[in-house]
This record gives sequence, structure tokens and C-alpha cells, in this order.
Amino acid sequence: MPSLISPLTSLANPTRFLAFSARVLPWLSAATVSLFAVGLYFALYASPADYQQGDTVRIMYIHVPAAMLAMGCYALMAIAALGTLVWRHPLADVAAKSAAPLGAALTFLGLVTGSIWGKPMWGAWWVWDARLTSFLVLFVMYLGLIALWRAFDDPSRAGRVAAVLILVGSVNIPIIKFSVDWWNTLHQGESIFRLDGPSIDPSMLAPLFVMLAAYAVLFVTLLLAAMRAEIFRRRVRAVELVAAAPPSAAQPALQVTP
Amino acid sequence: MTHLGYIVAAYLAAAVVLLGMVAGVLLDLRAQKQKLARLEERGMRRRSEVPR
Repeated sequence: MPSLISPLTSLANPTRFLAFSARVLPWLSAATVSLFAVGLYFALYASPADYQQGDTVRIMYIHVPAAMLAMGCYALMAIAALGTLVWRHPLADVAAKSAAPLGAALTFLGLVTGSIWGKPMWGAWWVWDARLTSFLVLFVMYLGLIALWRAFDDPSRAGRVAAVLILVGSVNIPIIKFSVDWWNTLHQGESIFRLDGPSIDPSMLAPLFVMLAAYAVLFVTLLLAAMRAEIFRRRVRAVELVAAAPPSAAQPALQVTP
Repeated sequence: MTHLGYIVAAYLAAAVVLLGMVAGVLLDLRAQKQKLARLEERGMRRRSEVPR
């Protein structure tokens, strides 16, 4: 499929990626704001209260997208890790490193909003059931990966080590997803992506999908911006390395104008 | 059964975390751009940018 592969491979060049992301970021930002405006209108006002939970169900519109994006972010990092180790794609490691803090923040948000939702519904802020515990493990993994990237001076070396750890940790994603099926959990079972169709009423499902789209577009927007920052950070490092090199080594490469 | 306090707390938490993510990324992006611009103003270039 040369028509699809060609634009993707051309984006492997960081300079081309910077130009592409500069063009699309304003559009993505506008789409994010629009989707959140529509989503929040339905989530807080135009969608009905649940017949059992009442208005507390409105927490679902911010909790479920955060949890899904937190897992999706890790899946994306696993693909990027393959890109780093197998194809040595120049932007794969940049993407994984830039995604990790976003994934950690979304996982934290999923844990906090889930806890706030759990207290009035279950009578407890926290229970050590399989879904909650495996999701907490995801948060710890994100923090570990962020710490790992910061422990190395050389970003490409850090990227290879982190890629291995990401792939090892990716076993947790299906555990989180299927934990409600494999074990008896207090957390409710799958209610959206089911073989026999969603068990949520369309009047609540539609706003949920709008909020999911809002979170997803926000994530893509922030990921592109964070990747730009990471590329600039690596360019700063490259310039500083050239400047710090001994004069004989720097002579042919470094050009310092008065 | 509205549990208004829990709903407000959850939405506030979401606002703080999501706006924090936006602020964190934008501040980092601006800082890195400024750092690179300062170095380039002093005439420093990456190896690949030096004309041969």
C-alpha cells in the first residue's frame, strides 16, 4: 500500500513531523474544545439521570473515557516500543516517552473519579478487586517508566530499555480489560463493547461517545505537542553536545558566529 | 439520590487533571523552543545543520 505507507514513512523525519504537527495542531485544538463543549452539555444537562444511580451516573462521562484512554495510551506505547526495537523508527521512542506522562495523568484521573463514584454507589472509596488493583498497577507502571526515562542521559539508550519494559508490562492491559470477566469483582462488568451490544441506554451512550471522542482528540493534540517538545529537547541536547566537544572534534561541525 | 457533592468533586478533579496536562505540555513546549532559539541566536548549530 504505497499510498498509505509513503506519508507515514515521510513523517519519520522529525523536521517533516514538526511541519505537519504545526499545521494540524490548531485544527485539533478547535475540535477538542468543540467536542468538550457538546459533550459536557449532554453529560451535565441534556442526558437523563439513571433510574438506579440518579444523577451520580454523570460521573461516568468523565470516568469511563479517562480509563479507556489510559489503557489505549499504553497500547499505543506498546506499538511504539515495537517501532523502537524492531523498525528503529526515529519517532517511535519520542512518541512513547511523550505519551507516558499523559497516560499517567489519565490513569490517575480514572482512579480518582472511580473512587469518588464508588463511595456513594458501593459505600467504599476503594476495594482491592481485580479491576481496581490491575488499574492501580497500570498507574505504577507509568510512573516507573517515567522514572526510567529520567534515569538515563542518553535518550536513545533509555528508549531501548524502556521499550522492553513497556512490552513486558503490556500483559497488564488484557488483564485490566478482562478482569471483570475472569474474576468476581465489585466493579461492574463490560457494558459498552459487548458481543451482544451495549447494555447502556442510547440516551446515555451517545453523550458517552461524544466525551470519549473529546478525550481522544485532546490526547492526540497533547501527544503531538509533547512530541514536538521532546524533539526540541533532543535538538537542544545535540547542540549542547557539539558545543561541549573538544575544539578539534567540534571544529568541522560547530559554527559559532560572534 | 443526587450526590451533588460527589459529582462536583469528580468534575473538579477532571478539570484540574486535564487542564494540568494541557498547561504542562504547553509550558514544556515553550521552554524547549526558547532554549533552542537562545542557542541558535548564539550561533550554535547541530552537526547536521552546519553547512559543509
